[in-house]
Amino acid sequence: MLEVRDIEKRFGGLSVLSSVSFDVPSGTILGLIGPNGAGKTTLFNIVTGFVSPNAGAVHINAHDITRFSPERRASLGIARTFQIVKPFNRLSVIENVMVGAFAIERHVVSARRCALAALDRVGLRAVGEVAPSSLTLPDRKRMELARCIAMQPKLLLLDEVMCGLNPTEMVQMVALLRAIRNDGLTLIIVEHIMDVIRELADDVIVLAGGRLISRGRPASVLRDERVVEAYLGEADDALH
Amino acid sequence: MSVPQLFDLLILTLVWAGMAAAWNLLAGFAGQFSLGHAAFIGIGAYAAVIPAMRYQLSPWVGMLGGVVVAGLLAFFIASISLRMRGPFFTLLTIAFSEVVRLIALYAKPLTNGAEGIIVELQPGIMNLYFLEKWPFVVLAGLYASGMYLLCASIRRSRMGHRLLALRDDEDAARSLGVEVYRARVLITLISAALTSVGGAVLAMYTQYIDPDSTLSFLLSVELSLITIVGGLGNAAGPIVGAFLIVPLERLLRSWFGGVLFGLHGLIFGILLIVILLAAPNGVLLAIGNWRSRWISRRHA
Repeated sequence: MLEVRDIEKRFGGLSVLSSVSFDVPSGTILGLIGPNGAGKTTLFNIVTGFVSPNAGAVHINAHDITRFSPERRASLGIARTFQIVKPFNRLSVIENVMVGAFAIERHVVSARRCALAALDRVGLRAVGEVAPSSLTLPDRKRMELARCIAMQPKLLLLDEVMCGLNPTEMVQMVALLRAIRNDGLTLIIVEHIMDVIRELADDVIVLAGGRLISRGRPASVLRDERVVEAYLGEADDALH
Repeated sequence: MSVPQLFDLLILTLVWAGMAAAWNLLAGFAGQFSLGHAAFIGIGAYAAVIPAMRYQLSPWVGMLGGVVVAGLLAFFIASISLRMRGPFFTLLTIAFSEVVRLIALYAKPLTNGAEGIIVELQPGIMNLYFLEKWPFVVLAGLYASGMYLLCASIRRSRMGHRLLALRDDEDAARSLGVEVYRARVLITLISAALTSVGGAVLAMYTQYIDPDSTLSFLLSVELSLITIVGGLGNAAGPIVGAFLIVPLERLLRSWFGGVLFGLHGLIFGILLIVILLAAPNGVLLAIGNWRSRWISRRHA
């Protein structure tokens, strides 16, 4: 469903991504991993339209969307969360999620219903009326996920949603993401916790220094010499 | 205080409440802080008065014309400032309103320049010209309450949610399909058009307009002051703010204005600082906080 072709991105003289290509088939989960500074977030921004590439193309269902604005891509069914959470602080939790629902719903009542269902799904229904600032960081991440779910997207890009969750919560989140995939969504997840990648991802691509250095099934990719090498010097437990 | 004085205060308060509500749509809801809304007050005022005095057109028609002109100019301003945020946008609006003021000052054949225009028409509803004050109380009341209802319903609507989202985080809003530029242009246009209606009502009530009374930078400041004191981004904020600020300003002037030159301004300034320190997020929010604290103390 998503095709990324020969993406090049330079910031000034610094090459951030070079000849990055990959496909994500419909209804699968792609894990995107790589050490810090590998270009994962830039790649996310290119797929979602926040950064335009110097060369290369992004296709969704065979349509070229390389020049589309983020809001236009959202209306085509691309949703994302942000690594640094971006709550709408002066709206309540449910209103935050309603903003997502309003991408597909015109009426307040139906948007609210849609938002409640999304909050239910991430387990935040009880705190719908509070301000996002009174939520814990993991809950704010859940709220962002609910915002995306309420949009009923076709492709969902998640930037470290597991960050800050305890083991029990992580198991719940993995189950939730799997359920979302089973609803027919396609997911791309950036994740530092390799257990999660092993559990969830159908395929994995590894970025290092702006290049794709490995791709394939999680089990084989995580044993790849080059991948292990790229992670050396990172947190000791990254590959455990 | 006599009844006409009370009516006078009420009319001014209500018109300012309505205009501040229109300003709040742009600054409070969309986060675009305009200090050039005096231009739209002035456009409304001149649009109602000039055709009426020169061509015997009903000020209602002129008011409609003002709405169109203000809307078009706002559309233009918003379109050229799409990527401007914060202080850059604010400076642009100040420059814009100064240009409009200078045009009014020097387009003498049309506006009578600094001398201004005295409004004299056959009294009646068609001419929006009355010798008593009460019809203006009704008119200003309709304007203010209409503006409040409009703001409250926008706040609850799809557009309101999307505007507030945009104000809080542009990237997150865009990722959820909010069309930033379209939303911003649209709300600027609505805000300007509705401000001009207030300008027209004000002009017909005071029955005299000149660039100073309808286009001064201080009028833009007054709009922001009223809204910030009441509660920025809150539909009821400008109403509450107007009922505090407008009477306070006028009463201080009538009490202390004759005592010592500038004394009323000094007292007003000090009171303003006290209010802003006690309620930095607006009186409306502060009252809410005090009330919930009082309730929890009673339950403790």
